[in-house]
Amino acid sequence: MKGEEIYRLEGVSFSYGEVPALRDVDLRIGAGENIVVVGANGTGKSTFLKILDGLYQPSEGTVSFYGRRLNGSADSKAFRERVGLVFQEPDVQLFCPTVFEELCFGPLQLGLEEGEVRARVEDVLSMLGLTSLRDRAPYSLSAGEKKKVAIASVLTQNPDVLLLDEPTTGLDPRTQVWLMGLLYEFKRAGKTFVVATHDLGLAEDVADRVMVLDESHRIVADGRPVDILYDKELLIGANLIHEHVHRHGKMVHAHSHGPNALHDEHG
Amino acid sequence: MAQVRLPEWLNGTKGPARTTGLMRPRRGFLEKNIEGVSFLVREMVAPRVRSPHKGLLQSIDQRARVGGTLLLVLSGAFIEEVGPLAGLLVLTLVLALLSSVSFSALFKRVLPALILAAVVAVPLFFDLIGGQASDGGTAGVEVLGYRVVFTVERLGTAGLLMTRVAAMVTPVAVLLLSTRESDLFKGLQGLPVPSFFVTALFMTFRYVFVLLKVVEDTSLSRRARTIDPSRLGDAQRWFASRAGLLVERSLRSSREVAMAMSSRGFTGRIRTLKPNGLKARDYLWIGFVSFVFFISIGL
Ligand SMILES: Nc1ncnc2c1ncn2[C@@H]1O[C@H](COP(=O)(O)OP(=O)(O)O)[C@@H](O)[C@H]1O
Ligand SMILES: [Mg+2]
Repeated sequence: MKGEEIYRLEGVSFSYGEVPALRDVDLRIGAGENIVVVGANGTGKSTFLKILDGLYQPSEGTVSFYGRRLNGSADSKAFRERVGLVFQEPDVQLFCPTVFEELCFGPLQLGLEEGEVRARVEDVLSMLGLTSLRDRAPYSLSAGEKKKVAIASVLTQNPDVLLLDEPTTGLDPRTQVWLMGLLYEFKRAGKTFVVATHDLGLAEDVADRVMVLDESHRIVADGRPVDILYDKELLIGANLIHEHVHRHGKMVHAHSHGPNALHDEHG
Repeated sequence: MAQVRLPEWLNGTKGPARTTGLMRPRRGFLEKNIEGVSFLVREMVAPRVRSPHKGLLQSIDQRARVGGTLLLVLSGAFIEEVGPLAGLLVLTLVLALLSSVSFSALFKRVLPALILAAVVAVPLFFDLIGGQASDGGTAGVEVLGYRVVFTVERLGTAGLLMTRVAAMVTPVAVLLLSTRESDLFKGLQGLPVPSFFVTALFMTFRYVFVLLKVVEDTSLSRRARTIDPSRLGDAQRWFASRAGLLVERSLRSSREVAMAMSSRGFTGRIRTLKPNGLKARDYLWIGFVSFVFFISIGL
């Protein structure tokens, strides 16, 4: 049902030993929401996604999924069937001998019947244009191909909630456009996704809700893309865009820079 | 944000190089060895990524192929004489030929094991018990103050050792050269081996490769910033100081791998697609290899 609450985070903090990675996160995520979390490097985006995927227990606070506390039982089949995480580093995520088996792994572990697994894998291979790579070893692929396989290997699980960690990093422009198109299709299909990125353009194109993590590891803004992506102060504060001194001929002036820079200040 | 100002020394360029001769970053002793060893290990154990050429072994089911190879290796362990061991080696070479495995590739993989065996065999010839050769050998030579003694018995022992190593390593090398990695693990999974071991073996494989990659990259990046092939001591200290970091990095990535697996529903037991049934030629092959194995027990 659209809008039904999926996640509820209350007072969630996480630290790696002494190193804080996420602080005081309170939020709800409803079904069908398309969220982009923006933050500079090291602000805690990956940690946030791993908490949503039940891989880390928060040091403080609670995470609920459909009203149930997520704790050690995050390994429950019902949870794994509904949530899929595409890791930031495809080399970590891809561990099977061939692309084909990589795509089979998730649905097989979830106990899907073999015929259905094969059918799903074929569909995803052809949807993402990976059919020619099916017998290759994932670690021998190029960076862009690895990323595609990593995404494909989660798609075969058919998750309701898709978590993507910096999906555009390291992709060539054409593959980036391809990825935007894919996210756009998920959106139309009614899937929920949470994408972590520092690519503000991605946020503008596919998000209906944007969150900003800053260097204090807190979510300092959470709202509609138009309200956040044009808030220059906020974005500069979060180190996502910067002011830059420019010289056009003899005229010197300052304006903000970044993928989503505001160019209305010339003069 | 303040503009970046380059310090004076970073400004401008050096212009074209006028020195004669190309200055190549040479490798010091340790780098050479680290890169060499990790390359060798990778070459030795890495199965083919792409499909190898067609041939006899390639046409046999992966499970029968892997199982049969293990039987050949075991045969090598049971045979007690040089002659039959050499026979087994020849049989393996014929298999390699029928499976279009190139002999030079095969040699490259077997050589490191032979060198290792030779290193083990060398002390056989040193007489460490003092001036007296315990088996009464007289053909002694002085080397580095030690007496080196060659006797028929000692030569025989060394020969047996080397032949045995060759006979046991070659089938594995032929298998690796005629089998894709994916088929190798599928083959293992089909054998009556607990799936836990196969999984553990596979993960070890992946970790070893990740680790070797990290070590090689570290060595290369050090070399890229060094002109002088540094003295051995310096290089040793440098690698020692990085060892902790390397371990930390590989641990972190192995934790990530484990998380990635449980994220996709892995709970300790890997479920895989069911393999196809064995065909007549697979049984024929298993029968043949079993025959060789039972003969070798008798030898
Ligand atoms: N395994 C780890 N051990 C220790 N510190 C970590 C680990 N992973 C991340 N950190 C630290 O936690 C903080 C947040 O990291 P991360 O969630 O990866 O941020 P992001 O994905 O936004 O770059 C950073 O300061 C990072 O150095
Ligand atoms: Mg990250």
